[in-house]
Amino acid sequence: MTDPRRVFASSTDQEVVAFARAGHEGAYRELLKRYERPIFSLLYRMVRDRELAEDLAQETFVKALNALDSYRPEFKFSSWIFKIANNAAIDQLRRRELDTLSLDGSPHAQTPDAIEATALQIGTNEETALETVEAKELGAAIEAAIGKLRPEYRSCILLRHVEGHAYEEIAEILNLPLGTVKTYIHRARNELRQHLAHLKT
Amino acid sequence: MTDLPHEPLAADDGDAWLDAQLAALRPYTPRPGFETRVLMQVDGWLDAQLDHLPVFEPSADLEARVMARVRVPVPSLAMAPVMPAAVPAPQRRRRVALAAAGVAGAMGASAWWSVTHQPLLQELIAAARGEMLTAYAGAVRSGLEQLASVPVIGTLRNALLATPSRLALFGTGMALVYGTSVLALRRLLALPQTAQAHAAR
Repeated sequence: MTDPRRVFASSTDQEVVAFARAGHEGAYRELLKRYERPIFSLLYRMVRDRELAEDLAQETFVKALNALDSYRPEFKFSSWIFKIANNAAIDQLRRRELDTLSLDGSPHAQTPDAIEATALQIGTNEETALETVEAKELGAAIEAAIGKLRPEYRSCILLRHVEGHAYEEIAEILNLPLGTVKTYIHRARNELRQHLAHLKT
Repeated sequence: MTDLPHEPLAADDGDAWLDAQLAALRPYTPRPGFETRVLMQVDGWLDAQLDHLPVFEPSADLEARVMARVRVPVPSLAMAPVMPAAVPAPQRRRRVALAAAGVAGAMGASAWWSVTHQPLLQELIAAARGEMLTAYAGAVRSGLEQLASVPVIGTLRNALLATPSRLALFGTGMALVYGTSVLALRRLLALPQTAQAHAAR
């Protein structure tokens, strides 16, 4: 007998989705297995709170897996599920205004007042699990620098450099024009350079 | 010596440079100055750091929590994608090898028997040939006798054999009918020589 797990493991995302739509529970588990770590990593770096990232990852997967019928196979499944995860993270950050040190305000703000009003403030001073890791690991500085980026820049830089998505895919995931994505990534890199300048001197 | 201007990398060229796409976008000659070197070094270092960020592991019960809330559809034969062959590849190869070995063994045994029993084989072939010829001759003789016993055939035979000219006329007519039939059949059974366009059909 063929082991379905081996069949799913050697199938493309689109094929696994087709199996899931046909009622194979193992196909759902395969999709979870493929994406739980990248999705959780993105969410953890976005919200910087492990428990919250767990909840958002759970919501992302429940929402995506229950809506597989609305997924269109001509698009990449990874783009689709990252879009759901990123929207969840951005919604959460907007609601709670979690920790960010960016003082730029919304990139869409037109006036100084609007920039000030939309600037995200520094949140809790409690040491999170991620900050504990930051204090101990070699990559502490870069994690902290990413944490200081505004959410839009953070999404772009994580999707580009950590998840390895192309600019076009990032534009699709974030529902932004391609030029805006390039600008965000450029600005994010500049901010990272500034935050990390002391390490390069 | 080329007279290409020494154009430094602009800030907007950073991403294209890192993606090795700058050459495709515009001709450039990086200025061998301190500023350009520093920019390239910092970008390279930043990329290396981002590329080596760790992936975070969600808690082990994430899959169970998600699956508890996912509605798996009832398996539907109409929608089910076709599973690959039920026999795993190593087992299939073993079966093919066994079948090939069986066929080769049978052929080898037959050849060995033929070589070692030549006189008996010749005897059997001669006897079979004799039996076949006897049966064929008997069938022809019986058929002709049946035909001769039909009254019309006897009358026709007598009429044709009465004068040689009638026999010749009959023979020529039959030959013409046979030739025409063969030609007509060949025309009917011949395949088209050139492909016909779909619209011409």
